[in-house]
Amino acid sequence: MTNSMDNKETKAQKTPKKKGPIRFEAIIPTIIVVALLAAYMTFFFDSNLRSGIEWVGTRVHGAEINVGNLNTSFINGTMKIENIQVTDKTKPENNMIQIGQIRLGLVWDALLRAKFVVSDAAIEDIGINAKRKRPGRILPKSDPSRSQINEIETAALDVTKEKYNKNILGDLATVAGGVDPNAQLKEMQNDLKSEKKIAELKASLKEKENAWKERIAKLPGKEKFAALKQEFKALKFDSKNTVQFLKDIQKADKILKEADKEVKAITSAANDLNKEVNAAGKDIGQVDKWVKEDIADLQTRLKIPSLDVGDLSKSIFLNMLNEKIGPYQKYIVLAKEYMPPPKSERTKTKSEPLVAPRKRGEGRTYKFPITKKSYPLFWLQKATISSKSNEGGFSGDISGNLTNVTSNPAWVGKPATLDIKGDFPAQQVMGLDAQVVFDNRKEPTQSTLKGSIQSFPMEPLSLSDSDDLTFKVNNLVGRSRFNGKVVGEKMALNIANVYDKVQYDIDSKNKDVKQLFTAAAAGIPAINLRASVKGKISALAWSIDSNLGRELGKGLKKQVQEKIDQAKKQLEAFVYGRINKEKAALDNQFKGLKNQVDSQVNGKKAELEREKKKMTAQIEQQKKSGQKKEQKKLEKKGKKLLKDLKKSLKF
Amino acid sequence: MGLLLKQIFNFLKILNSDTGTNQIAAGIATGFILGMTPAMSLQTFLVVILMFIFRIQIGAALLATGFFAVFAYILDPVFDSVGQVVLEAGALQGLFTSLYNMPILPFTRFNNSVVMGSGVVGFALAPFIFLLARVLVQKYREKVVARFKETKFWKAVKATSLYKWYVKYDELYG
Repeated sequence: MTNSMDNKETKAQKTPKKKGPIRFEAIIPTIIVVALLAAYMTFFFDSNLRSGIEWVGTRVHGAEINVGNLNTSFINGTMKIENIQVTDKTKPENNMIQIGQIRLGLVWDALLRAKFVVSDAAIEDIGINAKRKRPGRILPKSDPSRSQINEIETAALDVTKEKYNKNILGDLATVAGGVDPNAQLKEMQNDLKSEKKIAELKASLKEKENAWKERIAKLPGKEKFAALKQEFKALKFDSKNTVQFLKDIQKADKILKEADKEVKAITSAANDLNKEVNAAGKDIGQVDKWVKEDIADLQTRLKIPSLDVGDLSKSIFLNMLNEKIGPYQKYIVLAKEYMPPPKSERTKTKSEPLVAPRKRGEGRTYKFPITKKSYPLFWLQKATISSKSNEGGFSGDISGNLTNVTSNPAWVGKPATLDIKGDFPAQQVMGLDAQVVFDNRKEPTQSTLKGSIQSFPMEPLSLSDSDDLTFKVNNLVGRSRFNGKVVGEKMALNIANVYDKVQYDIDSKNKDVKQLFTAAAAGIPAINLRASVKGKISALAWSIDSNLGRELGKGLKKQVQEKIDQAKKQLEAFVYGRINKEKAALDNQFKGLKNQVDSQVNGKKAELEREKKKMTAQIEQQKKSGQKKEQKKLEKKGKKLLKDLKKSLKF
Repeated sequence: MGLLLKQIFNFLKILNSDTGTNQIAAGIATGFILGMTPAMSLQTFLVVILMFIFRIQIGAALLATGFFAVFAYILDPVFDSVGQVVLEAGALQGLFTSLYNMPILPFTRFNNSVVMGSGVVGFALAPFIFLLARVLVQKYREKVVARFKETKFWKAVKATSLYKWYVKYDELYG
């Protein structure tokens, strides 16, 4: 009994307890995994997200962007970003913009749909030009992680890179101080472009001359035609012998065909030659253009400026405006990329090729219509901008709103807007009032900008810094009005700036030059600048007008214009003196060759055509006379037959 | 890594025992789904949770995931085409629009052609894979394991003290 009991116990011990379908022992590992996940979200997620924002932002902007602190709350759906610093690319020791705090409240209902909707946000403590603790890092142009942004930036800057003299005032000063281009021209041993081209044309014409002569010699000559003519003359066209007559006519037709072939061959050869001669003539006609280019090139090399009042304003201010406005064009491109208008059928097929190589799991992602109850992928409904200046702080007194920034403007049905007003007392920027609207609801997209700044300081403007002239404009405090529009690919922007009570710092080795520029600048106590840029984003054209350019032009015109004209004449004389002889030789060479072709080829062609016509006329004549004789013969035969018939019938 | 290896050793042990046929087959079927579908989607996460909750052989699932992932990589163009056909089906547009705008479901990434194609293929074939795996495991045990156990080599191994020591250790800590 005891044994059987023992056996049962051992059996119960040996047989493992049957486990159910649910793995209860996995509860603890699952809890551990969840705890690890929670720990990551609590301790590391914010820091990783902060680094991510800094990395992406730096790549887009091209200079270091720092985020001081970032806090997210998964349960509340909130995010707080503190102390955002955007390095000024031109002055890395300063921040272009600095934001004290951004608070975002995300809508949970949207998060559950994998969408990011910010119902309310606050942007506080905004500052500009604040000093950084340490200079920000500027990314080199060659940075591979920025290649795409670089392309956009370069394209935006390239379109405004018009060729204007950056040191026009310095060059004018050089001319005003007296310049003798002859002395510099004598030192120039380099070939002129026109000189080189003329030499090339001469050589090429020489080669062509030989080739053309060979071709002319190979053309069917008089001999061939004389033989045909002889053959033709040998034909007797004896109408008495009908069979022989017909044979002669056939032979004559054959000779005529042969002659026709020869004429065609010479016509085609003559046409080809004439074409080549005309093409060579065109090349020679370009010489004048090259001469003008040479003169313009020498003018640039010898720094002889053109005193065009319009160009003077452009030369003075274009670089400054380019540097200020160029870098912002990339944001128009980026806004269009991240706030895209609805795609037309045409662009859909263009941008989404049906067959495309892809990585594992990439495939094609379909976008279904967003219903009224849902949300777009990203939507910042409203952000309130507020900032109060504090003593010694960087921030300004700013208020404004940013609304409806979204990845699907068509669904939201409202344009993205930014209204901002206020002052930055620490930076002496007062009375900023700007409204920006990005309307990407449909094609063509439309963005508008309108605003004004009542007062802003500017760095001293150096218009010339050479040995001949130092010309600086100091104490630049300006006011500005601006408005612009970008519709599709077309842009129009108008800027009107006024800089009151400016001070000039003018110096030159030459006393007369200094006096001349000082006198010209004395009549310009305030600088007005009106600039507008228009056209396709890929081909913008600036129009710049300023009283600085106009007044300086007027002041300098009397003294400088005469000297410029004189210098230009000397340049023209120099270039023509170098090339005139060669140019005349080239013209003569070409004329001679053209005459040769005309007389030999075209003369031959005309002669052969004449001979062919003669032959044709003779054959036609023979044919006609033969026909008449045959007709008469037939008539005779007919009459004789009729007579014989009458006789036989005894009429 | 140690945990993963333990799961795989467990799989080999169960495979060569007489128990857990359904567990192994379920593991292979689960691994088939995981291997076929691209990572980072809600359904993958759910399948993993199910794998932990239910007594599915994790070692078998892990091996099957690796094995089928290779095929899935090759079959991607097929999944892409299947997904496109499903997602572009006119009759289903209303359904997909609703799903696209519903909470949670967008996390499945069903609107991606490869995810949809592999999901359809993976879930549709999973029951068949389960049945096939059951049959194959049974056959393996009958034809391979039983015969191997009858070999002189195995009998010699079983007679060694090392094997006895291993069996004892397995009973106590395995």
